[in-house]
Amino acid sequence: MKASGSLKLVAGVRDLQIVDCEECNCGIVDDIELKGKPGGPLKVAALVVGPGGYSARLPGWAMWIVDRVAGRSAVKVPWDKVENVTSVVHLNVTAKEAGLARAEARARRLLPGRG
Amino acid sequence: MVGRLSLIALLLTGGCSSAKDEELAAAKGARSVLAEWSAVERLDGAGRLPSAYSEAMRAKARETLASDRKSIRDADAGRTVDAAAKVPNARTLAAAGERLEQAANRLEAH
Amino acid sequence: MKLTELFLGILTAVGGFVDVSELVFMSQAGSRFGYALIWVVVLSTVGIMVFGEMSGRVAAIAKQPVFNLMRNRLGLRLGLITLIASFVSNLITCAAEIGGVALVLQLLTGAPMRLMAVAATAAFIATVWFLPFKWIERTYGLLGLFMLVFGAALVAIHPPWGQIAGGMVPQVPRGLSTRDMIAFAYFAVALLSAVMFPYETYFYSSGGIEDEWGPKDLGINKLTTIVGFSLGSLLAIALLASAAQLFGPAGISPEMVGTVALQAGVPFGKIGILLALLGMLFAIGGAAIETCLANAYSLGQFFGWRWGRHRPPREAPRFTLSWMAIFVVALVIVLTGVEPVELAEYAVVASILVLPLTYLPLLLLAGDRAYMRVHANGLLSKTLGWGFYVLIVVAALAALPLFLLTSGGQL
Repeated sequence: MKASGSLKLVAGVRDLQIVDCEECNCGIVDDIELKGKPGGPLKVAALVVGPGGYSARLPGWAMWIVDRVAGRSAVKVPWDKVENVTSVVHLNVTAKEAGLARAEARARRLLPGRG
Repeated sequence: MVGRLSLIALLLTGGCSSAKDEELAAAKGARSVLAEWSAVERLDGAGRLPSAYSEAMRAKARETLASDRKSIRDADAGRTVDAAAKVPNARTLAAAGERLEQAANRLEAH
Repeated sequence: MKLTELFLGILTAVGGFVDVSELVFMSQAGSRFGYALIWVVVLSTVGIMVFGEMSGRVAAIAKQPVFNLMRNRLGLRLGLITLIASFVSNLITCAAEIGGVALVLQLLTGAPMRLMAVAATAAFIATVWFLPFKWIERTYGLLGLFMLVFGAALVAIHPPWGQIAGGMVPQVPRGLSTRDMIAFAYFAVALLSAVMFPYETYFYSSGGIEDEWGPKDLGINKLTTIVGFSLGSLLAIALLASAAQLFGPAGISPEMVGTVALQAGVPFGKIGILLALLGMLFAIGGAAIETCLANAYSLGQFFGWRWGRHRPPREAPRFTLSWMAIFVVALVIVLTGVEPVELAEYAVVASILVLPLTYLPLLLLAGDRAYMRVHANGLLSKTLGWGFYVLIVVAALAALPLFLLTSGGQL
């Protein structure tokens, strides 16, 4: 599966691990945002990362529970930040630059120690 | 439809665990605890057990017996458990265990 | 292949094979049915070897842990169902292990059980926080080798070796009443579940990633699972056989975890009890840590977090908070007063229900040439894998009715 070749967006990109340019895990592709008009070309706009990305994929009652537990936030990583797609999605930016480091930063504040 | 039938089958199966089964399970459990306690007393009497271990096992046996006793309604079985806990030496506990086994067999037969 | 690495890996697998569920169920099975269930232990061990080897191979070749790949293969909905089911099962198991450790500490020191549960949990949290992954695994696995006293105890009581060997042949005892037949089936399912607990493959697979396994480690993986689990299962069989010899005739079907130690106390006295309790302490303690980390790995991998003990705790903060929270929740379950033996029974039933969901993605992934290339399942792995999978599904369907009909094996 390569970005320069053809991609199966559902089977080949969605639900893949995302890894930033420093080889650190920074989320899973929870959904994919497409842009385009009917009859015209359809392009991948962004990867959607976060519980908000489940809303089109889970039934309403399940999303209600997700909302209570984890909220509905989602980060959209523009497709041009994707370096390539193999068994993981490689980004060409850091997790922080992609907006995917906030949850880890919040969690880190709850832990003892510094750094 | 299959889901509903499965649920009904499960509920019916669950309903098989009656008060009688609960009493039988408690009687069998108590029978084993008496045997375990008897083994502890026998080995402790022969100086083969660390004291912390035997004390803790005695306390646990009393606690477990008390819990099982609550589900035992058979008069004979109940008296056996009550008497054994009062005179807890290896011999009386083993004998009580055998009497309780007979009581459990009676419960199972009915 | 590094021989030291292999040797330590095998010893760790042996010392870590037995947990509180196996202690309880092996003893009860032996006491009630003599040697007639040994073949189930043998069969289950082959099963865990097959799936353990697959999970290590997936980690070494695909370089991705099972839960990562599972989500991609099964999708979000089925993946979430698997995650929730396995999480609940592992959490109950973790609570059973913490309760088991607390009981053993009480037997060693005489201190109150609840206090020991808190102390044990604090010790586990400190262990996982401060020790690197390899040392977490090895410390408890190697110290769990005190359990070998049960093997020595079996030899010392001169059991009927011919009957033990005969127990390895698949059989159903003759002349059993209907109730006893149902109980036999329950114990067969329970032993299968206790040996093939899902947390073992999650932990083993994630451990392979932590240890940065590659194609060169496939040999270690195969030998560790085959030799390590075989030797570990001999220990489990020793527990069952000793119970058949000592407990069955005495009418003992252990209701108390501490009774299992009497298997070593009868031939060896005080030193036997102490070694047995130490072995149980570290074997069960290791299982408590494994079940907790297995859950944290599952969460981290499913949601794409940074995870692993190969990095300092603050570099994988959500993963770190997860395993700490899981320990605390498991401790709370123990502090409610539920008996560890009862928790172990629930853990075994919960785990067998989850096994089909757990092992299917692993089986599919290990056979997928897109991920595994030339290392995909060959004919033997496919045959054994699918054969055991059918067995697991049958056991999962039968587990709950058997549990209810036998009141958890009590009837």
